[in-house]
Amino acid sequence: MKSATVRFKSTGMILFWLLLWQVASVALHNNIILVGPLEVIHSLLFQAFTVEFWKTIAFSFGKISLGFFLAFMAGIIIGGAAYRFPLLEDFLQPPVSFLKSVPVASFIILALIWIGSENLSLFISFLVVFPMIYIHTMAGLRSADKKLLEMARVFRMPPFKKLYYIYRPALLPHLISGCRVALGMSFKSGIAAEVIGVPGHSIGERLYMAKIYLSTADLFAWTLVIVVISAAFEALFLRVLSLASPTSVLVKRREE
Amino acid sequence: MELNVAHLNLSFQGLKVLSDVNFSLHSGSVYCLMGPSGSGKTSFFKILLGILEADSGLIEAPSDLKIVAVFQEDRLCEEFSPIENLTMTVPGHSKELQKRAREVLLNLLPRESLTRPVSTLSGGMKRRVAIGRALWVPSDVIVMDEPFTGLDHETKKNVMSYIKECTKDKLVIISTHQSEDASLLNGTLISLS
Repeated sequence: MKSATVRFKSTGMILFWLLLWQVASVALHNNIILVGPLEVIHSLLFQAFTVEFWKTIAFSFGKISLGFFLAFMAGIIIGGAAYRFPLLEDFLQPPVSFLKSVPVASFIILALIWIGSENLSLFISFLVVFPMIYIHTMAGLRSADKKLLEMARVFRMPPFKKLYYIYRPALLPHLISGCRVALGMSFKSGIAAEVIGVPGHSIGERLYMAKIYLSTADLFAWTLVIVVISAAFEALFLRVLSLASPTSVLVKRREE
Repeated sequence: MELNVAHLNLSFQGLKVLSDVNFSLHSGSVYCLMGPSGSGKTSFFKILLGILEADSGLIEAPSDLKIVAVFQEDRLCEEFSPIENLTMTVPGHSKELQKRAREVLLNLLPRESLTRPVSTLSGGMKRRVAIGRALWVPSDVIVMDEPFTGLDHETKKNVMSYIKECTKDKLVIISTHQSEDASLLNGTLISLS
């Protein structure tokens, strides 16, 4: 009952803002400055029935999500190694700090010169995600209970079991919170790279074309597509990640 | 097997915790370490387990000696069941391993608690899981730091009898505040003061 009220309230809020948006666009009566939600939906539906629309989504989603996955794996492996070997952490500190602080736009232009536009979004997504996953992996491993680690040493616990029973529960909450930020950032930076590099059949190219032809409806429609695929990927990835958490095992057992 | 403690000294920030401690311990016996709070019982165990380093003195023991412990805190992986808390300490994942862990724990805990996450168990039950873990792992020496905290008298007697049954050929060192524990365990009293 309570959740139904909350759902009703949030739907009402969304409808209110959509209505306000529509009213504002009608009042302005200028399709270059502001288009209403109805025109955006019309533009979206018009494109959704073309093969090119889905090819464009597949291209951008494929490149950005692959960049994310590679950075996710590299962040965990290298973060784990740096936790184990402090010298490696010291060695990696300058490049990781550099990756964290340099503006994404600078990287995009440099990467465009280095590797061209085809795999630009993959590369940028990797560069943005890697330091976040690396740092959260280190923090997660460091948060492992020292007393449990002492116990593991005394009992000579096998390394794989130590990893599974002590490090994994400590690591996952940090990794999930890191991924929450990194997932959104990978799409934002990946699409920004595509807008600058303009690789063929990409969402970035569509946004660039919308700018050239002053097609605000297309711009809004593609923005909506980016928001939806980014949110869907985030929800799916976090769901899969949370399945690896011992807490979800706990919930399953209680359900049994 | 003999374990000799000779001239062991330890201080923390100028405060003497262990002062010239000397004794010999033999396998097949239970020793009850007694002394007021702060007399160095836990510190002695930590030195024995290799967690802490003594200022001076030595502990003579065979190099391949395997020492396990019931720590002052339970130190259990709370998200996992008592059975998993036992099996995680040894290599392998077989059903046979789980069966053996279950057999050990059934001597200490009710059947229905064996598959529940440790976080849902009472303090006394957690203590018994920690004791079960120390008894289950193959070892030469078992160190128990106030293992009976949180156990009622009847449970304590049952646990003690199971400890005696499992440790006939081992060296067991238990720290306690109650001298009756030594007589119930047929143990030798060692005073640290």
